[in-house]
Amino acid sequence: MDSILRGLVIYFFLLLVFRVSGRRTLSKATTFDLVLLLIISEVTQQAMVDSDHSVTNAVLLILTLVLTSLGLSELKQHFPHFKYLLEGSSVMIVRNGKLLRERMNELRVDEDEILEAARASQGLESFEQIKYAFVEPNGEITLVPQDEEKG
Amino acid sequence: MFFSLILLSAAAGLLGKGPMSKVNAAAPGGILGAEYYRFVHYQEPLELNLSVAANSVTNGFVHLRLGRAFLNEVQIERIDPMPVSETAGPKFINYLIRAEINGSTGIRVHFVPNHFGRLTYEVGLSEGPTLALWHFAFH
Repeated sequence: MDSILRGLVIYFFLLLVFRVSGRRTLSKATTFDLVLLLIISEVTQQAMVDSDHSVTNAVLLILTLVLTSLGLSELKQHFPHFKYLLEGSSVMIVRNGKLLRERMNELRVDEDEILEAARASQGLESFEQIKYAFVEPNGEITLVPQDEEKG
Repeated sequence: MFFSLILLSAAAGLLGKGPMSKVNAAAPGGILGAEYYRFVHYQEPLELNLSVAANSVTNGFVHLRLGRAFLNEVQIERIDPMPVSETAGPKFINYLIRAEINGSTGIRVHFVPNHFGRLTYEVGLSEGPTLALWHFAFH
């Protein structure tokens, strides 16, 4: 019982933390972010296992986490609003080459990151060549290039 | 489905602490009572909560005894209140514990199971009733 409760509390707490801290936290892994993630995982592990190092406890924790994840996936499939609540939706940050600054600030995305994604995914060099750019729920930046004749 | 059943069993207390795992045992007349978990985990810190009725107190002390079977298979972390003295016998270890002035005395035995499977043991009072208890430790 304790194991299941601990697992559920930690799962939903982490879900909330990463939801609130922003989607870019997930994809923009700098050296410090990596260290932060390692610390979080260590603290999480201690909080979940507590002083019970038995195999049964480990099995119950794993089952709790996996089944909770599966349960949420099911809910997301059946209720789109729930999916939006948990993950958010794609947010447009560039429209016809123009930066939507307010949204960029909210999501903590800067111009360099957009250009970096543009170069890497489409081989584009300037904002004028970008028709739309989005920050996806997983934190990645995706782009739609301008039509050939415009670009 | 199978995994859900495992989790439900665990939540109910069949694979560790939980509502169905909690056991209350008492000697006739309520002289000695015990509260503990039936299903536990290997090396999980646990408590055996005992209550001793006021009429079993002799000269301000409770004479508690724990069976060897228990002591051989678990590691006693501490006993609250701390025993004033302990003496070893062939089947039991006797603890002399200062009793509460008014009412029943509550004794907490903090222990860690060092065994797997079922363990049957006895907890009692010298010249008083003895309770036969058992728990099952999962690895």
